[in-house]
Amino acid sequence: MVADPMARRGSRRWLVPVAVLTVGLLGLLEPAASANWSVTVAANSGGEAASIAASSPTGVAAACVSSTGYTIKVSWTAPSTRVTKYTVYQATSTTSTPGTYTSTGTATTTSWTSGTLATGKNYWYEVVASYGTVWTSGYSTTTGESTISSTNPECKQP
Amino acid sequence: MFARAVPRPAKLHARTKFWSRRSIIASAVIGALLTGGGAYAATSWVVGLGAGSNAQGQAASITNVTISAVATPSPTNQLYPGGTGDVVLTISNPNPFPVTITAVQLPTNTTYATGYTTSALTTTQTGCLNTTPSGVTWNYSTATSGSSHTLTSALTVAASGQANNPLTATLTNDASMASTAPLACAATFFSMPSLTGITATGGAATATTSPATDAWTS
Repeated sequence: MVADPMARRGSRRWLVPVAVLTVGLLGLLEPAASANWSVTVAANSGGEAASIAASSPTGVAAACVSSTGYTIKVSWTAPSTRVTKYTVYQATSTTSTPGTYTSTGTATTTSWTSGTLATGKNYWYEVVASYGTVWTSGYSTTTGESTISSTNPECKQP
Repeated sequence: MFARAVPRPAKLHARTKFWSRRSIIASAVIGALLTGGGAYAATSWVVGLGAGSNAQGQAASITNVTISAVATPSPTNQLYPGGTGDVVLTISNPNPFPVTITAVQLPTNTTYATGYTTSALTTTQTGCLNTTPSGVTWNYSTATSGSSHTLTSALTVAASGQANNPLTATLTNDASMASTAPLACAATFFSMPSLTGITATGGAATATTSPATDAWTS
């Protein structure tokens, strides 16, 4: 029995829609770079950032500038590159116990030098860092101390 | 007794030959598309047969790209009053094809981040909430929601299930802290406000390797 030529023609005709369907499926898997992209982003799609700590200066030291000039230079270690200002606090006493700390000067670098000081007193120094106009650190973790003797006046380190 | 072959009518024979040629064309098109599918995705698809028969695929969609905060790598360029800092995140692509992000859309410059005590972002920082406000926003955000900012280098996230998906990225200096930020926001971790959208395309592309860095300057 001879194969029906009409049946053979029909089988070839199916090759066309199969090809179209295949191409269409491939298109769904890897779509073209169309200009009509619709993009959705899930809710709460953000990221994470962090801020620095408002750390205090460290390593505060007080040293005589001159044995006869009665001036003391205070120096310290910066806690951060973001500090905009330092405030120096001084306490004085004739005993070994410091009095009340009061602001005595400011600096933008890591040192500060006093004016002429009275003799016969002990001087203590602590430093506070500022980060802009709102953030300030606590007092420095260390205290610088120096003494200007009243007898044979000179700066003396404790 | 043998059956005698029925000669084909001339007309039917011509029609059969016509369809035979079309079959060859269809097979050739399919073959080219299957073998060159990767490169072909970058150009218009040709669907159909014969000269002049072409159509564009349906409008493509990228769904549910997720951008999440991540503590690792920890932001090393950190925020301070009046300054900027890095944002770190991961990008997850659930689509079965790579997604290339070229720009992001930002919330307004009064949409603030909430502060947390640790990088796990589980316990809020007292006195440093989005409602305080914290003063932390996306850098270059404006008064208009959805302002778009182009990435310096596009980020391509691999298809779902492939390496480098999720993609970890650091956006350099893309967070900003107001000079009036409260002291409570010092030593704090921030969950950045959600992006309002991204500009992206899909299709064959080389995936970016984690960790990636990027930035925008305007």
